[in-house]
Amino acid sequence: MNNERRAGTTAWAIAVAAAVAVAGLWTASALTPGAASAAPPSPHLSAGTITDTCAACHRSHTGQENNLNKAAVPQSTLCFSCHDGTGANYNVAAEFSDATVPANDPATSSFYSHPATTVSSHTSGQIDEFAGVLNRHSACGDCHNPHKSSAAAPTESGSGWTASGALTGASGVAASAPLVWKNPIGYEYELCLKCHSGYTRLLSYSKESYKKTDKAAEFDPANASYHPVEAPGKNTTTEMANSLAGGTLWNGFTPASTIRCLSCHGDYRTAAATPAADARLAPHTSSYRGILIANYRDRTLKPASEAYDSNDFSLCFLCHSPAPFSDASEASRPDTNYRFHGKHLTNIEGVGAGGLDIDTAGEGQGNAICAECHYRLHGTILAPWPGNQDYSRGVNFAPDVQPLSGQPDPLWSGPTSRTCSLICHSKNHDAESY
Amino acid sequence: MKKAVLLGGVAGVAMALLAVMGTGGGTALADGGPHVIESGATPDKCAGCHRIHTGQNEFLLKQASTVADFCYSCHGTGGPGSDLAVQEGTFYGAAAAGPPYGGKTPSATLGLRAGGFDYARINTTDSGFETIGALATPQPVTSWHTNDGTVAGTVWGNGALNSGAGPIYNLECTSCHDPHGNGNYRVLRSVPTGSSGTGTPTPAPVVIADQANPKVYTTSNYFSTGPVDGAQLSSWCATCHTRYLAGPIANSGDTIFTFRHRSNGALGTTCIKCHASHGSNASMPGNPVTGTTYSATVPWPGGGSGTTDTNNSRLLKMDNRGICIKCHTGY
Repeated sequence: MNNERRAGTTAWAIAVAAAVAVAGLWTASALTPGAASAAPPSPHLSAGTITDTCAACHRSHTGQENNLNKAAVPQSTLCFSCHDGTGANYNVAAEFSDATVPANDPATSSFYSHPATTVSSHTSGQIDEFAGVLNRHSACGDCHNPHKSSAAAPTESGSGWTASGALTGASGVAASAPLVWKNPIGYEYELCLKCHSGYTRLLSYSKESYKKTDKAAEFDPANASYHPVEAPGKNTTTEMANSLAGGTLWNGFTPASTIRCLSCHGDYRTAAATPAADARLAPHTSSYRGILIANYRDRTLKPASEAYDSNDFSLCFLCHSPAPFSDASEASRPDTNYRFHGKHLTNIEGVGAGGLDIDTAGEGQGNAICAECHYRLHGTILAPWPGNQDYSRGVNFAPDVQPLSGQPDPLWSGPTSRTCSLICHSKNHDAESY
Repeated sequence: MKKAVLLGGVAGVAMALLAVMGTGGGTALADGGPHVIESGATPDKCAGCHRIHTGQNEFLLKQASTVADFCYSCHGTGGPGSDLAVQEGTFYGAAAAGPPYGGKTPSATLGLRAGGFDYARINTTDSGFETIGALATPQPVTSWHTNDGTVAGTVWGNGALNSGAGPIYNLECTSCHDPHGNGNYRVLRSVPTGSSGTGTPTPAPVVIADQANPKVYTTSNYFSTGPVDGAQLSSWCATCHTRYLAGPIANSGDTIFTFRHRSNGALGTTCIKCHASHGSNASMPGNPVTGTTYSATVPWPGGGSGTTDTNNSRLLKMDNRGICIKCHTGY
């Protein structure tokens, strides 16, 4: 009998146990959306009275970090023990080792990955570590609650997209006034606001295009213009509807839609596979600055000789039909409210003799880029030109665009009167109409 | 065939007490009955266990056997000399506690608090809220404190920081319990023998005041820590398992026992909340539906291969990691 019980004979102690599911958190992406019935064993969820899963990650007496995880920090070490292509559906480790993803460069405000693989000040995703302080970090557990995650897909609503199962149980910030800690989140964007809003202290830059703006302020549906993350947008024209119908990836949106932060900031690899709007689009890393899901040129202006290239604005065209932007005819179109889009992007080569920095007044020498007239893309309320902050249609001018003499700001009269009064690429627009 | 071995112990509960042999005298109570040094000029109880000139081992015990076997002559299966059959985790005094012993009907609803050394009666699949009931029928244990004095075991976590997983020691019943009585709860030694290990400091004595009469050695709910001060008992466990004792989670500085679950009694977390000190019949089958075997493959402290053994419960009171969600219900 004793022989049969050999294991016990080696231990005369309260030897360990492994387990105790403590708060800590971790994990990377979630489970396969819509594949619950065929999902492999998930260590993320308890399985009843005699659950086996705690021991997958935790050690009660020999934990190696403060959530009693069996691996030392960063949390990604533990998460990647499965999410590396060996034990989970999603190979998140590969996303972080992707050779095409540049290293983050804080000096130039260029970020290509959430820094989940470096040791940080993170303690627990259930604890507010961000309110009013500069504490930039993103451990896996900051965005994922492994004990709550599921395969559920997010759903669209008039108040934004709900949090997917990958984010279930994660904490965030509610877009209220004032912003408040919210645990758990209900909407996907609430997770983002935890670190990308005025709730926390954002990185500070003097150069305009480097600035990290308060996304809660920019997405506020009370504003004149915003991308429709928290509520549908205010441009309900037929032209907008037609534009959205012609998107290269997200062509199911309408003026009544809301979009996800992940519609723009997501996994560029996934985008290549034409995912559904509710797909897993985890914004872990990207080869595009800002962890964008597609390329977007917004800092460097076009040299005089550089022709229009739709790839420069692939991000925009995921939702908006690219057709108007390559059409230099200046004719009205059913898929844009501004018939000069094509002209500005394709037919002003050599106009101006300025430099190529969008943040420097008077620069510009070639075809325009979107950001020169749509500088703050999330919303206009934080436009660098104060006079642009109540503009609709996403219009707000970049610092290279200058006001006419005697004007405080470069001006646009709005979607009804349709005139611009400004200097762009050295060209005066004196109440030019369209 | 089944040699009576085991005892030992961390949270010594109820038993392991040497009892009177064949005298039928006295009630078997820790720090009572035969387990006291009698006062006066003419003590009688010494003869219950000892033979001055015809002793059969170095302790002058009257039987040639291991200490554990000798203990089981009273505390063994069937409760031949005590209601407290620690060998099978069974209480035999439900109808009428006390002598005469042997031949009684075991309680179907109460088990011995510390589990047992060969069998235990812990309902290790109990789904009740804050309850772990007792089984009507004893089940073979899957882990236990070795107690026959011949099997080398690791004193997990014994010693100073960064002193390894723990020294080796041959534990026996009397390592933890003082058969002569000492006034302590369950006649636990204030400093268990072997607790200093090899090259490790002698722990500070931990004296746990004995329970007032009538003493209760049984339970119908193993999730309850019973009459003892759990925090104090955790301190006692830590006389051997030094580095398991922990308050709020923080880096201990030890490379093995680095971050540890709270065990110092605060918030109700004590060693015996999760672990049965004598032995447990819990199993680690994993999840047969999903095929996971996480609980059965947890390595021993300090590394080494996983146990890969579904029959090693590490003294936990629930199957797999069911003990975790007894408290962490949100998961």
